[in-house]
Amino acid sequence: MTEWASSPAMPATRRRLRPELRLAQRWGVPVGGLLVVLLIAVTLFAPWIVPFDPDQVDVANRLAPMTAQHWLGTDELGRDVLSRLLIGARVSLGTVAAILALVFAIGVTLGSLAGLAGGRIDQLVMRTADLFLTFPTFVMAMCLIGVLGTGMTSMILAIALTHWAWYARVVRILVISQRSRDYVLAATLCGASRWATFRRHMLPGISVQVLILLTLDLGHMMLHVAALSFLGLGVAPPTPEWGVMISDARDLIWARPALVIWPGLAIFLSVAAFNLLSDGLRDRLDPALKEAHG
Amino acid sequence: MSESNASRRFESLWQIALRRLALMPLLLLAVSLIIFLLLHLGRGDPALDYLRLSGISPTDQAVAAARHQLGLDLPLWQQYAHWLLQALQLDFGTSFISGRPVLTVMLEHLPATLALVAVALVVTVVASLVLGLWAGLHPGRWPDQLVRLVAFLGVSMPNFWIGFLLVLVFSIWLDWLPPMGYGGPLHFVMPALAISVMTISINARMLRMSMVETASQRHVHYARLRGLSRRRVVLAHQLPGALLPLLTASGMAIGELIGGAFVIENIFAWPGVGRLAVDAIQNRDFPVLQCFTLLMTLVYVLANLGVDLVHAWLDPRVRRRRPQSGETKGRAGLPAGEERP
Repeated sequence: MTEWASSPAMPATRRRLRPELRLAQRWGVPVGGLLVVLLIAVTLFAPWIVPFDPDQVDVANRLAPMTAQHWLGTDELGRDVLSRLLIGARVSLGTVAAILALVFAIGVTLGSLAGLAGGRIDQLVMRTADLFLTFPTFVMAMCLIGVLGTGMTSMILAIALTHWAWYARVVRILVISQRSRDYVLAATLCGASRWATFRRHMLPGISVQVLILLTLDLGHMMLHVAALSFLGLGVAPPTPEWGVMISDARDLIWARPALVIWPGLAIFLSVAAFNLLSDGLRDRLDPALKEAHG
Repeated sequence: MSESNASRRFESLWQIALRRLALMPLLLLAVSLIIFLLLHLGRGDPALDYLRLSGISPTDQAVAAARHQLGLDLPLWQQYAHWLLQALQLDFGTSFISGRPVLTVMLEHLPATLALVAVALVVTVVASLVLGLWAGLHPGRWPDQLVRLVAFLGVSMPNFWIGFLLVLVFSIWLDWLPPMGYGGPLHFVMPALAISVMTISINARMLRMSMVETASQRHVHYARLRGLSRRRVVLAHQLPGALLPLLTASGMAIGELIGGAFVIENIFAWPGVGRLAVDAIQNRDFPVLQCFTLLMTLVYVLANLGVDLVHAWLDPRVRRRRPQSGETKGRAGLPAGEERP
């Protein structure tokens, strides 16, 4: 099949595929990138741009409609919805960043260990990774939270522990493929120790590739954070997390559906921004990523 | 190739099923041990949880009595051995919250969850077939763009939010569907749709891609050159090859759907395992947690086995005893990795 794929018959199909690819490339990265930058800006500057204190209860003014003062109205305790949404960005992005760092650390450490050591250690790490890859991530995260107890720290740990395996596998393959590269062999010939060779010549390249792969998964992890918090297993109220806000407003869906709609829209837009960016990047980097892992 | 030669190179479906089922007790044992150790070495004292949930005030005397009653004063290995012996007799203890046998409670709630997941799986397969085929046969044209847009929205929306939006539109504004509860076929519509939007989006995208890929394969070109009708080329020559990745994806969708069902059950007051589990996790109801984890392992492994058997039945290459390198199955189809000196 491979010889056929590279035969002159392919370009015709390729050309037919191009327009939509170009569409995704042309709009995906700029629009997604802009939204992500906006989200990060909100995360960084939220405490200074919120119109009200997000935790300030004002019972006299509860369930206020959208007004010039409260742009998105107030919730069942009279707290300003817009302020809570803005601070919520901070919680969402913060937890996701912590998860990302943990997954990166675990994945790179175990993957490199397996790739460099080989033999029994390799087998042990990879079989463990296989076990983790077998089970659906969300159900496994729920079970882990059951064991660790509810709360934000447990949730971060649980999501990280259910996502490291795939990255460990990617890192292992990258390490193995780099071991026979000329510059690595050259370093070894010059008498560099295995650790020095790994740290100076292999780790930087691997880190960049894994970081790119990880950002592609951010949207998916955000959905996990929101769903677990919605169930009351993650971020605990009164912290203004988006999933928690929806959970708080669920009984008001008949009277004030907007209280459910706004936080959901915030989750949707953030996840969509990351997905848009990652789809666009994937299309652009596809040859490079394909070469790296399959 | 002689008959005996062929049977030596290929496994029968029975052999695959037996080999996998033989590994299952081992897997369940490993999972139970891990969960047991984590639960008992982790933070918190089950005796205190027990007393809290039973409404007994935790005096020193009561704690000591509870520890003895729950067997927590024994060495850890004895506790595990005791639990394992009981579990082998299908006795998973009694729930701290309800005081009822855990397995009975679980089995009462399991059918509702399985029914929801099954309906959602059928919805996923049918909808992704329709959408994926429609898009894959018109690459780059408007049906393709539309399906891509829908799929993009689908993977970006939280399923519980979709659930609320559906309730808002179909129960509150239009008053067509019951907003919650479990019973008739109408009750299934919104929960099943809410959890399958994500898997439909993923699978439709995947089928679209494999349809476009198979379109440029040699046997499809040949079928077209022979002058076969478009319908026949698509149905008999293009679709079979494109269906295998969809099958694998549907297997992975089962896990996604179970997870989704646990969330959605909480919105629609669905009497399933998910609500039970969330209650147990929030209250640290240890016996329920242990049984829940094992039950989920069992359900998921059995579901995966079913998918793999169908896969092996459709694609003899899977049954080959020594799979060629590069054919390993995984989220991104990662190759096994060549070991080089």
